[in-house]
Amino acid sequence: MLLIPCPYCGARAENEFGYGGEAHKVRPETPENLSDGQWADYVFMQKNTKGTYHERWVHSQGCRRWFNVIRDTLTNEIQAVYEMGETPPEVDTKTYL
Amino acid sequence: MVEVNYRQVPLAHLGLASKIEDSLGDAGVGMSDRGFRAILNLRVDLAKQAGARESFEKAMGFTLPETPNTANGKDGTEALWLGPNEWQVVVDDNAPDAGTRWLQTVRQGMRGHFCAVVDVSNAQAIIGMTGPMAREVLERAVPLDMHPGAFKPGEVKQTVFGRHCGVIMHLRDESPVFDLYVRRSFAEYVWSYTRDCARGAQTDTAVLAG
Ligand SMILES: [Zn+2]
Repeated sequence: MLLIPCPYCGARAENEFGYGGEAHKVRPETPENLSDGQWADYVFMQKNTKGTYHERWVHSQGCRRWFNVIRDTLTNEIQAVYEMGETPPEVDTKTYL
Repeated sequence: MVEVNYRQVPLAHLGLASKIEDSLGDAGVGMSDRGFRAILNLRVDLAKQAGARESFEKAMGFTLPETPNTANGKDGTEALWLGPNEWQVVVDDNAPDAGTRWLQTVRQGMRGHFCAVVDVSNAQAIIGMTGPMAREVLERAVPLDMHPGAFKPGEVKQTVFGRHCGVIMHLRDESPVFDLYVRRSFAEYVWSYTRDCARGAQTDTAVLAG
């Protein structure tokens, strides 16, 4: 099980958390002007990087706050956590392919 | 406010009153039904609401704890940190109208600030735990580190209890004395699960007065 450092509560077991997918996706300004394909691309498609990935988690069984995590998706190393709305901190970008 | 005649503690059907022991005896864990308290949920962004800290202090006589996972209080009244802008205010007052009265007190005190105060008294059951094996038994039910160096008096932690149920754990003192707040429909589950954990830890459970 992963130990995830909630920015408020500190390191807690993974089963207290929920996963929210890729972080920093920008919602289109005018969704009514998008084609179905473009909308589907926004809603369903994620980068799904192998390596350093910015993603959202929620401490659903703890303080119930959303926050961002930078995680190496291959090794599960958590490189940083930061609050919603904050600028992502600089980390070594891990790539494997 | 719930009609007095219909008001029942969530564990009433277990008939705990007839099983209460005077002391722990040989048991490693003591469990109790804490009965009713006035419980309020308070949402306010102290960083953005100038003067909200002072208003709360004026109304209740103590400050809201701003350090995550801690509690603060005075004379049977306390606030448990639930999130960066969320607290559970608990008053040791079991009168049927306690929730409504304290709701008014906090609402009046916080008037003028952008905030939400809600009476959640009847949504939760409060289970007390004590005894030399309490930490070891609870460790079997939650994914937290229950070691005295990791969970200290005055701290409040929210986590998963058993298979899924959410719990708020407040460690009142180092003896240890815990208050567990759970949704009332999970009260019996938490009670029985803890007794099973005690069996697993090869210790007995005593029912103590609230
Ligand atoms: Zn948290």
